[in-house]
Amino acid sequence: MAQLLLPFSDGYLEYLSDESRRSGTATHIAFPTCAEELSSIFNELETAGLPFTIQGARTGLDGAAIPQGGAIINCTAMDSFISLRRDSDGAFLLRAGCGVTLSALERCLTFRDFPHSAWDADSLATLEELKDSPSLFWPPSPTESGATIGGTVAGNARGIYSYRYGNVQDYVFDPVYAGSVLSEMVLKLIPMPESVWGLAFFFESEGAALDFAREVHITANPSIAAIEFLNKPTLENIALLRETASRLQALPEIDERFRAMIYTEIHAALDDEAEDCASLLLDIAAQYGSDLDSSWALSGDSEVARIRIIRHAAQEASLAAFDRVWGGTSNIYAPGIDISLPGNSPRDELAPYEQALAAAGLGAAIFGNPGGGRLRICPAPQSIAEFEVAKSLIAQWKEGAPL
Amino acid sequence: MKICVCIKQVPRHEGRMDSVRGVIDRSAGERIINPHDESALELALRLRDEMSARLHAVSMGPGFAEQTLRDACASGADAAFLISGSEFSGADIAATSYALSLFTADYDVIICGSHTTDGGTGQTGSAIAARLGIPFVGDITSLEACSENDLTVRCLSETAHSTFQIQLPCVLSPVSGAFPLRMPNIKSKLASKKAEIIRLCANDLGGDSGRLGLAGSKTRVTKILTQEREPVSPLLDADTTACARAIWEAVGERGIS
Repeated sequence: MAQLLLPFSDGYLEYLSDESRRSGTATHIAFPTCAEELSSIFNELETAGLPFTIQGARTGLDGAAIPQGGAIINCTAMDSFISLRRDSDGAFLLRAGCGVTLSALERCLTFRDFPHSAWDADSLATLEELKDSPSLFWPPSPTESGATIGGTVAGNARGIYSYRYGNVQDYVFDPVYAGSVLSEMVLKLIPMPESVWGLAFFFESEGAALDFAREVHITANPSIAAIEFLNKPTLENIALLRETASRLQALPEIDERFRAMIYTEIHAALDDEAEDCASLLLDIAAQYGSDLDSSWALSGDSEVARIRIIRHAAQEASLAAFDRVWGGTSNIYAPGIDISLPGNSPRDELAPYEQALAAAGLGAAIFGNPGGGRLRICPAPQSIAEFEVAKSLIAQWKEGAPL
Repeated sequence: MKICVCIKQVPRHEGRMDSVRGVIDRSAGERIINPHDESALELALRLRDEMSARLHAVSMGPGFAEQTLRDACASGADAAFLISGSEFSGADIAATSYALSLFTADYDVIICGSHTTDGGTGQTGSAIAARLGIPFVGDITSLEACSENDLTVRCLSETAHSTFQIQLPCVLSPVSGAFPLRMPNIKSKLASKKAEIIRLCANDLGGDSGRLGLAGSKTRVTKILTQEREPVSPLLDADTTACARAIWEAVGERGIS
């Protein structure tokens, strides 16, 4: 076997950091392609007495992929689709390596095909069945499509569809570990709903947007798959990103008078159900003062993807804004925290956080699922002093200090 | 002024071929508006708004192509027509342009997309113009001016930008992407679900039924060859170093130095 554990050199510098914009150090790095190689690397590490850090695609926001000395084990090359079966209910079960990215999985599902040169006869037969089946998807969908499935599962990431489809663990079976690393797993694929709608509502008041989200949540309409909130700084960051990101340029510019957007996605078995749900959302949005003439509405999965992309851009735009101020500055990382809003009034529960930010003179991008009680706050420090304040605030919030 | 935009429903991805008839099986998979027709629809909407005109959308295809016309209504088309029936099935450019020329004969401006993602001849607009004996201007990048009698448009060629003043009636075709299609709002989207899509058969169009569909087509697909290839493109998704390494290895495997 070729040497798997390589001495760290400048050619690998990018593996010292991740999307948190933190940076670490390492003496070695390895890129295993299968569980066997991974085990071999662990043996080498044990012999050498080296600590190690496991990496996926380094899209995490909390710095979990940052090495603290020792070796980096980057699993992105463990990206094979291994087999395909069906369970007793007919659901398709796809075994895949931990390094498969969500975008690669989505692409294969879209085209109903997978790299299958090493598949056995049963898998190939099942693949033919999949080609004749309705469109499928894997519900856990973190907004970062570059993430690996290993990272998604290990981090128990919650995508925008967790609102309807539940936890990532409900769609992962039969995990295989090499040492402490989840090396491969079986993904349960489910049929894409027949009718998919994407709706964006804009509000001149952030409070009205959050109240709208709460009201939609209270309806408990089973067709609602996602309710996502983006505040004004998030929309401003996306507007800046739009200048250079061609995929965002197909979207209309958002009027500056709007202070918040709510993205909702409808998944229904029938067109009539989706229309009824859209009508319900229209009525509630009107009740909370949304400008309906400025709303966006598309149907069909590929069309809806055009709007969905704006929610997916929220985090990227926030990091791009951070990089514009701090790009290349050492010892400064992008501050951010996921907060839980367990009550039934996201407006009231978010207010103390925003008041603390305002008192510190800090702007912040805030986005996420207020109906499901989870938002991400990304303060935007413009100076070292503000960075220290942001760090301090986040530390307080993590410790659950009274607000 | 009456404006007609011709749009087509296409498979989102490669459709399966009916190897017997040599045509695309349009019954399976997600179906979308031909992406190049979006620019045509938006140009038509802008012209409609500018001239306070009436905009009709027309499509020729199976019954489920109604959805594409509803989407056009959601974007702002005032009325929609579906030319449908077995007599139109399997039409090539000659038969398609004949049917569409029968429908569009009374319009002041007819707008088509640059080409489709399935047929891809890129000749529908010019063929309609030829049949109606009216001018055709393609590769339009902007609408400069319009009046009851003529339009001024800017076009892109391989070597230059040109500005044309065209007398009405005429046929126009914009560059794909030059006019990004506006986003429907929830009110127009819901209204489009209840919009009447007027169905037209061969009798409604008049003309010579022998010039429609497969019977009226001048070309036949006699053989379909499937290109053997890897099922999934090796799109590299990793970070820069890993991508560079993968490219280096792929080049090496192919013996390229």
